[in-house]
Amino acid sequence: MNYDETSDQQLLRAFHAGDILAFSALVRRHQDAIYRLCHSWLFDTQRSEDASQEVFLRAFARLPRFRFRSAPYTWLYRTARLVCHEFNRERRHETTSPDDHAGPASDPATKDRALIQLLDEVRKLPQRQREVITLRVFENLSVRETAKLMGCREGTVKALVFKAKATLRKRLAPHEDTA
Amino acid sequence: MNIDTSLDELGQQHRELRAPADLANRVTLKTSRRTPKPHRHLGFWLAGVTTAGLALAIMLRPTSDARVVTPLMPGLSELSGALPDRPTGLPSFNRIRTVALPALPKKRDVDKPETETTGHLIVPAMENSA
Repeated sequence: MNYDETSDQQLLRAFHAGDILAFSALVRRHQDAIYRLCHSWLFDTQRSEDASQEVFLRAFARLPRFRFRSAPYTWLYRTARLVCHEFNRERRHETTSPDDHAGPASDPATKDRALIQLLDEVRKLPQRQREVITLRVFENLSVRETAKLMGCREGTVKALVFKAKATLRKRLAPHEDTA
Repeated sequence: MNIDTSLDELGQQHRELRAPADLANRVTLKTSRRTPKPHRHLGFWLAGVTTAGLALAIMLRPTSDARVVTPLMPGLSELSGALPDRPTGLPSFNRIRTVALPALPKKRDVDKPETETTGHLIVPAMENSA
């Protein structure tokens, strides 16, 4: 069986039939996207790795009862969101040192100062707006895919993107004046 | 700063993020120690059925009135043996007859002695009297 050319549904059916390799193929296919999503919610490399691992462990335990009412990736995405919320809730209860919060300054991927400011502002956006920016802009998903993952209408996605960008423009306007 | 352009740049950097290479191996290693439990929900079913059965049993249990009536049913106490046998010679209460007595006249004769009463009188019927 060529796992690379098989659809998610077929992989899942093979996993239902007891093919563990099909599950590994599913993990390899989606691990980067799930890791990026976790990173956009947790802002921490180590925690993102742990969260991604937890998502796939839950998938292993629960996907055998998957009823194919949605796409497997939608299920993984929603599980990732749930796991990240749990991780964030745990972190709030912990006494954390400042180093634990990987802010934009400690993010090695972002060098430019203006981009660091922008990323900082994106992280301060309300949850739904941040989510839509992550999916629609950062993950470069279509409006339809974003709406499906967020469980809302396409019009809502467009409105949220517009509102998020307007908020970012407003917040970054003073920085533009000083720059 | 152009927000759209900057967001696109951030998006490019975001898409370059990669999960650790050994993530799939780690997951596979951890899952290999577990076995999928497709019938784990059987326990929930059993618990649900048991609870429903208990609830039905409580709802349909005999009422206190029925418990009083049961020993009065003819022949049941003898069959079950749960109740002691009735002493012989005593009247049976299996059948209770109520006898309506004639009401008193409105105007009473003071000189006449009062011999009648009002209301209902429970008269125990003798066994085999019917």
